[in-house]
Amino acid sequence: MAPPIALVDCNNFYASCERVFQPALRGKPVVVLSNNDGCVIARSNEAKALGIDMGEPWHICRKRVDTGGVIVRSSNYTLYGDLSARVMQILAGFTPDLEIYSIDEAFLGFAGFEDRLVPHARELRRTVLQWTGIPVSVGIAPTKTLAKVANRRAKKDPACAGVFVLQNEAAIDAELSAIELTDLWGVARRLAARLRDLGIANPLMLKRTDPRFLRERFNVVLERLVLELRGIPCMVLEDTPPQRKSIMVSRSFSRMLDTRHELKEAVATFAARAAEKLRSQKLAAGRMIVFLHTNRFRPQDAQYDGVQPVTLPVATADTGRLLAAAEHGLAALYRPGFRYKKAGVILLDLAAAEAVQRELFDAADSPASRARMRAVDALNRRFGRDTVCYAASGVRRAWKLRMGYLSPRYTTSWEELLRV
Amino acid sequence: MQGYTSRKGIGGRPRGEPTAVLRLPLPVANLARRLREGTLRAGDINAFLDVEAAGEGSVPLIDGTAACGFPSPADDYLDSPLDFNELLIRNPAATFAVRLSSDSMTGAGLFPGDIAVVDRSVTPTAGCIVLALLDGEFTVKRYRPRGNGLVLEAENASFPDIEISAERAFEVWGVITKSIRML
Repeated sequence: MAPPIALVDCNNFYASCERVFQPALRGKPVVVLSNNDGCVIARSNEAKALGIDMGEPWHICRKRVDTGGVIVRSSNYTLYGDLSARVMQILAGFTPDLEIYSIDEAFLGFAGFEDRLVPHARELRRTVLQWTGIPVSVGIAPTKTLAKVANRRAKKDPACAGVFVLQNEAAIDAELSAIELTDLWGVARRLAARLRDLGIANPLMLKRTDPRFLRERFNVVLERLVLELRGIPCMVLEDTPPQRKSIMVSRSFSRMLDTRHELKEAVATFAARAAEKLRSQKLAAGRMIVFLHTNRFRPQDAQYDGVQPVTLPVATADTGRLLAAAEHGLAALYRPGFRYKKAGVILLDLAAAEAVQRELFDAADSPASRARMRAVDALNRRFGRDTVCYAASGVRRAWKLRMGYLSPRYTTSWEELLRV
Repeated sequence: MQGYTSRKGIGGRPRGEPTAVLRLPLPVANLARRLREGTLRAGDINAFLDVEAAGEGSVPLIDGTAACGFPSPADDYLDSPLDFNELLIRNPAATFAVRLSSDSMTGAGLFPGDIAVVDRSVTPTAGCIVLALLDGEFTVKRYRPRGNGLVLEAENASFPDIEISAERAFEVWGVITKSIRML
């Protein structure tokens, strides 16, 4: 067997974060809504039990199920991000090989812990819960795909108390015969249907299918999935996160926008925010994409979906230059007579800001520009977002996100500390 | 209309000292002129600062490898500056800050408005001050195990001690390790 890999997954992470500082939410159905209070993106177990679906638009959900007792929260990414960083910091103390997979999941190499996998995982779980208040589940297996399977069981089966190990053939086979194809990592409903047509009805049968046949019939991804089910690792632990290839900032508006002026303000705000993210990673962008679209869920409205790439004369991290590019992009995109629901800015061709080549006619960001950006970022870090901003971003921002149910930023703002 | 060159001290060559014609940025030239006229203003010095730096670099604060001169005698004794995080936070991943709003612990030096540092990784021991959850409400009290039970002590005569009976929902949220008061 390959050395064990643990998948640590925070249970109902966003809902759990809300509960850390608001114990009154314990034992009650809690849902967290996406940006702009649109869709359900996290549910406590009690909310799942009510039949509230993941990704369901909240206004539809409210009509469908009795949501009288449900506690609703807007997504408080500041809080979730801080608690996630704490969890990951704790996990790093339990392994030399940590791969942070998402805001609430991480893979841990457990080579060397073979003889005490369960006690080690229990200690990890206890520590994360005590230190942060966040409950986690741990699934351990020889490959990432099987660790995901083990984690699912750890989470669903109360007898596991949050830890489940799949380290021998018999246990793996038993588990694979008890779950659905769509419970596997990367198997969606369509693929599952195609597999069933071939007589492959469950993950155990998939495991026993010839991987070469699957590569010919489907693709190498499915072949690798089968090898992973057989305990042969095809996805290695990635300790160092790959460099970002793009930075995107986009939002739905609280109401539909139709004036060029308001859209300009919104796009400028997104571009400025993207520029800030860019600088925090010491990168410069060579290309930008501006996009906007109308509300796709209102077929009765006229629809427009526009994407405009803008090549920058020279890679830059200067908000002023990026704002100019964004304005240029929007000018090419904007069509009057539509009601826009969402817009965004994507920065591409990212390179280290230090290594930017100057072009024949356009100088790279000057030291003065860099100093200005450093000052802007430092002020906004110290005194709060948008303490200083470009006028293009506007001040009223009437289109801004609806966040009607936002909890305080308990861990990142002195003004919003828990009061006891 | 008055001709500019005929005005004294503007266009003509000053008498006495030798002169040279120079090209200067206007702000610097104006500065020189006002210096001569004795009408220099405090802000004029900015003319010299108004030039974009050609490059930037960082200079180490203290470097003992200077090729000449006597090395700083302080080099061997360099310490990092005082770090308040180090003083207040033992375990960053488990440490939270809360704002106190009750005066039940004034006897222990905890006043409303203070910021308490809460360490969730510390196991409560007899006599420590805890942030506890009692029947779903947060409370700050001194932690006193008594036999099989537990008493939460207030440190203000107008607040009673609370005996924790088995049927009450109780847990320690974290141990208060420091308190910060802005004066």
